[in-house]
Amino acid sequence: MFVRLSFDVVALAALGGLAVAAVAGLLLSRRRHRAKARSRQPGVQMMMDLVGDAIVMMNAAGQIISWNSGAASMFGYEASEALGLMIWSMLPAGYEAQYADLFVGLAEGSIAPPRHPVEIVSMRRDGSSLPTELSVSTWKEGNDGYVLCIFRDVSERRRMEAELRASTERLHGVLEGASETAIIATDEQGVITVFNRGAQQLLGYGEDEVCGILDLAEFHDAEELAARARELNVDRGLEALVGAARRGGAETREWTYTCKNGDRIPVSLTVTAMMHDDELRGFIAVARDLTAQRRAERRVAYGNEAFRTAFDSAPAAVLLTNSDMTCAHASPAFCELTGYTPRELKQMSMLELIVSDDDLDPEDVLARENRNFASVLQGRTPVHHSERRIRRADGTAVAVREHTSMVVGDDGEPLLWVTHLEDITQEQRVERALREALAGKIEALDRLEEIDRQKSDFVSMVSHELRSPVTSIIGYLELLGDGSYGQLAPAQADALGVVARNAARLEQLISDLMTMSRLETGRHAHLQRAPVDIAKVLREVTSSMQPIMKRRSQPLTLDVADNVGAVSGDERQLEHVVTNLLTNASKFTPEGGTIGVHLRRDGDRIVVAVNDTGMGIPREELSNVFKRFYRGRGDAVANVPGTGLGLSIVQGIVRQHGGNVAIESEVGVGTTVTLVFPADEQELSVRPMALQSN
Amino acid sequence: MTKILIAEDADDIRELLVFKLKAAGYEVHSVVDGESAVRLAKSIMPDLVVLDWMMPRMNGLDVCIALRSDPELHSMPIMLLTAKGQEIDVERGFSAGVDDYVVKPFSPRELVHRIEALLARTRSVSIEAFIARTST
Repeated sequence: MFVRLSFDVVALAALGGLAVAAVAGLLLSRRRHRAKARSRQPGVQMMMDLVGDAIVMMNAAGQIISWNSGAASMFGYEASEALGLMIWSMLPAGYEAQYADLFVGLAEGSIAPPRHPVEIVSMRRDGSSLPTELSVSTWKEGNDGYVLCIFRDVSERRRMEAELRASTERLHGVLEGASETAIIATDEQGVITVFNRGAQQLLGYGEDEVCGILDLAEFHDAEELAARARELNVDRGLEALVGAARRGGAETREWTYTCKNGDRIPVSLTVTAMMHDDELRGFIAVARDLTAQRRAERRVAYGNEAFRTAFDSAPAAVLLTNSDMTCAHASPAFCELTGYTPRELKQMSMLELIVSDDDLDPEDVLARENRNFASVLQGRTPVHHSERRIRRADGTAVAVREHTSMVVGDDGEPLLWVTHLEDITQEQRVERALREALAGKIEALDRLEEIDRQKSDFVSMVSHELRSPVTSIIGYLELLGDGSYGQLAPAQADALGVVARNAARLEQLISDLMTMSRLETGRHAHLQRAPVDIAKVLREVTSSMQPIMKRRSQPLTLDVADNVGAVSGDERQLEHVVTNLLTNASKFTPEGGTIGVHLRRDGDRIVVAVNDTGMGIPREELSNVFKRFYRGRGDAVANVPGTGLGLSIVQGIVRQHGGNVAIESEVGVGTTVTLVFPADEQELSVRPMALQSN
Repeated sequence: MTKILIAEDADDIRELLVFKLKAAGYEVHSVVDGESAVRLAKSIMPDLVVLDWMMPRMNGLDVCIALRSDPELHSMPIMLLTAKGQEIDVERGFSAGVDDYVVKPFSPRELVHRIEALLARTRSVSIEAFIARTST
């Protein structure tokens, strides 16, 4: 086809339609009055000239018989030049035969003119082409057929259409590209015409499932829509969405969308009315998925809630102080501690809480506080710990330990001080009580020591005072006994013997008491320390004890290993120990029993053991034998003279020498007392040289 | 006759000593306090002095020191009697110049033996000193 017959949806402009009707009417009347036709009715011509369109009339041959000013300016031919030309001079060349057939057909009525204007490229005189829209009418007058062509210049419209197309394409590009944002466009009825990729992703529907099928309200929660409809006092769900937009501009609201798969998602929906020349053309809805935001909001809300709960339920008193020292927030425990209500705290400076011993004004207090908190302010430490007293609402002071840290704002300046306070009143009270108790204990201990010392001094003094009379008793007994005052009768001598025995016992008791007293008052500081040849001590003591043992028929054996070494200590005291042990062994062993003394070396220790085949000590009494004045129970022991101090003295002296005493015993079998001393290493290292010199 | 001076405030013990030493054949003088002991020692120049430690007016140690500081009496044998039998006391006694030390209670017989021993030792020291002096 030589003519592109585009039956556009766009309706013929009203003016164009009118012009055709009017011009046709005029021409007809002119044809009817042919006589007058040549004279040209100026009204018709004027009207035709007023029209910007090119109005051209042809006879059946296609020869131009009428040419208005619009045609003149459109095609570049004056009327005088155009009249008589064939109309296809204005049409694309090369189709003249077809044009001729077409115009003949039109003029004869065998071809119906197109009902709508057709788009056609017209040719101008200067050879340029012009997009035009051509309306064709035909009529007959008698046997003659005529064709009326109205060309309208559509170059401007084409340009605008092209622009519109481009901008529409751009818009589509934008819409499609905006996959993060759901964009839905509708017509004025709310039926969806555009459903971009974002919308598809959000709702799960494909474009073809939606466009031209569903309306905007389709995805909404019916109840939300109904509620909104009631608010706006409208009756349709869709109006709840677009009502506000329709009345003026955009409206953004949050809604719940239901996706194709049934998921419900929160969205923020902005609906805008699309107006064109004050006429509603549709709506554009932009939806933003709020799921992530809601989740974040829930997290924040949860966080706030968790924080508040933790803050308010904490047993610790917590205070948030703004950088200007006003109270930002105080936990209930803090309010309880200070006696202030949260409202009162909000209205006061936290500096007022500080009890300062000196009468500083608030600025100085603040300066001092800042100095105290310098390490925190300078970021050297995260928390400042201090103890202070704070003023309560009732005027009393409470001792607290505070832990203060700082929250820094975005600008790097201190934003908040977070202070945890512990009431340490109780703690201090306990501490004070403990200190007092301790002081009391120390005092009591001092007193006890003083009493102990006094007791020891007393014992020492008493023992000393006892010695003088005992000296007289023993001295005169001796004079009486050796006949200094004349010979005694046997009975008198026996009686004197009883007195002498008891005097000796009394003397021993006094001696033991003095030794105990000395050991207890710690006079071991005066212990003479020298290497003591323990083997020599054993030999000497056993030899001096031999006569007594012999009298009691108690064989005494001494078993001394070679080169045992020395014990560092006081020889006289060690003699005392061995004497006590041998005395005990002899006293508690019946006549005929045996007594053994053993000395051996065991590593860096020296072991002395004294054993007997005596009466033995019951197991339950063994733990008591080192106690002062303890004497075994039973008749056998009662008949043995003694003070109950012997083993206490042994233990005291052995311990002074850094040693230990152990006792083993079996009733009826015998007793073994074992002494263990640390060897005197110094002496051992000297010994080989001494041997060499020999 | 060998002269012994006894200073002892306890009458029983003093009399016991006097009795025992006289029986042993010594010329015995006795006083009841320290000051008297120093005074008498200077006047009678005894061969040996027996001093009790604890005495009124001047104790035995101070008497000992006073006698030792007297050029006439400084080599006189001195025996100390005491109820104080501890090492520290013994040490104090010897450092004050005591020649022998007898702890109460004592046996009078033993005391006589010790006095004899002390006198014998002093005499031998004197002879040695005499020999040493004459030989130089």
